[in-house]
Amino acid sequence: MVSFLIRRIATAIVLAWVVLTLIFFAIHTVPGDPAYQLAGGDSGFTEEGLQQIRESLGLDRPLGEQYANYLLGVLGGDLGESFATGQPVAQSILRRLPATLQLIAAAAVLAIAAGIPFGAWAGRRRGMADALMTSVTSVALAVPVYVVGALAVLLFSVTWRLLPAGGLTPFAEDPMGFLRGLLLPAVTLSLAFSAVVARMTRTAVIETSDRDWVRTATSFGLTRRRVFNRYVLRNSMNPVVTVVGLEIGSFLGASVIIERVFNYPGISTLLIDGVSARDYPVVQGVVIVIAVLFILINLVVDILYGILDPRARIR
Amino acid sequence: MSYQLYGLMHRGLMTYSGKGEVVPALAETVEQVDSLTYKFMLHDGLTYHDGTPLVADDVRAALLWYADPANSARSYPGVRFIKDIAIASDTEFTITLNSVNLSFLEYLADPSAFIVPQNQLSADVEATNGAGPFKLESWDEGVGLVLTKFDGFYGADDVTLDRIDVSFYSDATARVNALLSGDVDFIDYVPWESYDQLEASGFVVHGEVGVFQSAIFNVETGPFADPKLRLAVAYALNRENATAAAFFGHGTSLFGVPGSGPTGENLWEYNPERAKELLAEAGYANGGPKVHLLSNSTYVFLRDLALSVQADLEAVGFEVEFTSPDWPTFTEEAVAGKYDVTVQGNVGNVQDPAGWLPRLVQPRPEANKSFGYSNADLDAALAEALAAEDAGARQAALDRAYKLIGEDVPFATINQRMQAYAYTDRVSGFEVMLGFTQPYSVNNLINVTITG
Repeated sequence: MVSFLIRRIATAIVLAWVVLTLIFFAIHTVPGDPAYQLAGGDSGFTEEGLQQIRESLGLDRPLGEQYANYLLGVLGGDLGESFATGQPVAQSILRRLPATLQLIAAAAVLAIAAGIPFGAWAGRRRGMADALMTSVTSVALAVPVYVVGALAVLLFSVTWRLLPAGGLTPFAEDPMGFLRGLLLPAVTLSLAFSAVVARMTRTAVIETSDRDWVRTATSFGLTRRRVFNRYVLRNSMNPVVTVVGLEIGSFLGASVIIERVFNYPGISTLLIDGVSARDYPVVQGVVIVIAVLFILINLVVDILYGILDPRARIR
Repeated sequence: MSYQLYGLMHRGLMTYSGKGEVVPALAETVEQVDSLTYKFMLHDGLTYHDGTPLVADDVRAALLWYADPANSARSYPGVRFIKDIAIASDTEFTITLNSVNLSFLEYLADPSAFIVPQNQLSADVEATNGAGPFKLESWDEGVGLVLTKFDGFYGADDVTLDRIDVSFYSDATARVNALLSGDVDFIDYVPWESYDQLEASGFVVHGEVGVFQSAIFNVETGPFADPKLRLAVAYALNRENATAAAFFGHGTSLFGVPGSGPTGENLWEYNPERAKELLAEAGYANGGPKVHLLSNSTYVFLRDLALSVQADLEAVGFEVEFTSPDWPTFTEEAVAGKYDVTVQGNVGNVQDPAGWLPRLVQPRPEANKSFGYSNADLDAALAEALAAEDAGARQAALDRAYKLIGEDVPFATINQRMQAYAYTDRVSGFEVMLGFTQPYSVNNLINVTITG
């Protein structure tokens, strides 16, 4: 297990470096002068002023030197300072990251809580239940997340005024307000995911139920309910855990849309604002954090997978 | 932080009143001694939000900092005229200009020409310690901020709100939904497509026209180096269609220089036949030249305007290639002149055309002026108008400038857009400023009351 972990962590570090390098050169290659965005493009600025901004941001130095400085900074735990605000990027990310993690965690819990029982029920009952599950999940998968979000806001916020249309009150300030603010974005984000989890669970349950050892267990006199709950369901979880891991990672991408629709103050909003302003340190910092999160989530999934199926540790 | 918010946190020597007139602010009185000299007297006992006294020396430091071209200040075009600031006491000082500028006091009213402690005069520092009506209580960067009334403000008795919670909604639909759902009481930058919906839902939608849009050209290389083809564009534009396409009809057509009176406002007309004649005169009788129309995908209304311009140009014979990258890419390409024609928004930072027109017709690294444009006669006419002390001579110089603009077409104006604020019926007392001061209307939140 220890060598398995070391191997996975070493791979994660290399992956993080590759992502850092790619995003650094990609954002510096994209057209759009950060100095011009910073000057505001409104009035008053001169070529002399723009050049001074470039120098103060270090953009006048060779790209290789900028990369080396940035890499050294990151190794020392410094993600640089935002061009736009002058604030340390790490500080901005730390301020926004909890909201994104809360959103992802809430969506994952909702999706797992809804998807696994629904899929297990359909896989066990089959027939009409299976058809119903297939239809419902098809709809959930077919409707784009921004449409679901927009409809949710129109119904629950604008029409019925039950929940806020956007924003998030910090938990410490108002726990109820926090939950109210989290509910719509989390449900929206979880919808398609719960459909995937339900389908995967259903397929895994059907496959597992058809195994010989299930018939053997039943013939030993164990009740069907016990066999299902204790053996079939547990043995169906490996593929479900894998899908959960991959899908939680993809939440980081989907949250970009969710945060936009619900004006949710997470790191995706920070990323979009950073790209729009060509705020290189912010873009690089957020992408690195997202990549590291993705890698960590997959690492946890691999470990869980190893616990559920010891054969995986050997591979 | 945007200059709209500066108006709530900061003050300069002058400011704008409810409808947009220039009035004294930190200066209690202003006396124009002669055409080049202004004597200021500050209010007694002025302090910044942190309690530090605000004195004449701070004013001098701030204005000279804005007057340094390296600092790229918005008020630079006006404060660069300052020759000397002589301080008589902590509250009295005299500013001498190096040439006449009738708009000088208006430049001092620009929300970004605020006075702050000298340690905040830096491009690397976000100036948050001001002397304006509200002080910054908390700021969640990119999310929102909380402002509370500053009791040390010189006009604190007239400030009706105790606190303003500002939330940033970059997405227009989310902003409208926030108002419709009751999350907020007031929104700015109302998208044009939502005016009717909001009004039908019982909200007040209150706006004025101010910012104007123009077709601007690369006059250094390509077809639009020929003024005949620029003039052809000015005649080809169907402004009514453009306003309908981009602003759902919420705007007014422009056929010349906005706010310039009869001699400057009617330079062109919608006349596609005349446009075709001009194309023929320029050597394109059998079809116009191929031109690159650059727009952007970030500001949808500018893209929609550009699409309308594309249709108008194709209707008279131009062959148009259309591209619309994101805003930063667009600005970089526009500043580098990588286009033939584009559509941009502009607003004068003073009302006087002699004050704001030079920015649009003189060489500067800006995306919202024609690339490579320069016209010595036009520059001379505008400089003469700016420096003229006699009203008749000033108007004559301006008329000469308008005539040159009409013929040489450094830009072809399209329309002035309505820019609106929307709020619940609990909000009262909000005024929208007129003309180019419209974007500063958020200043007027200090006089708003909210009931219930």
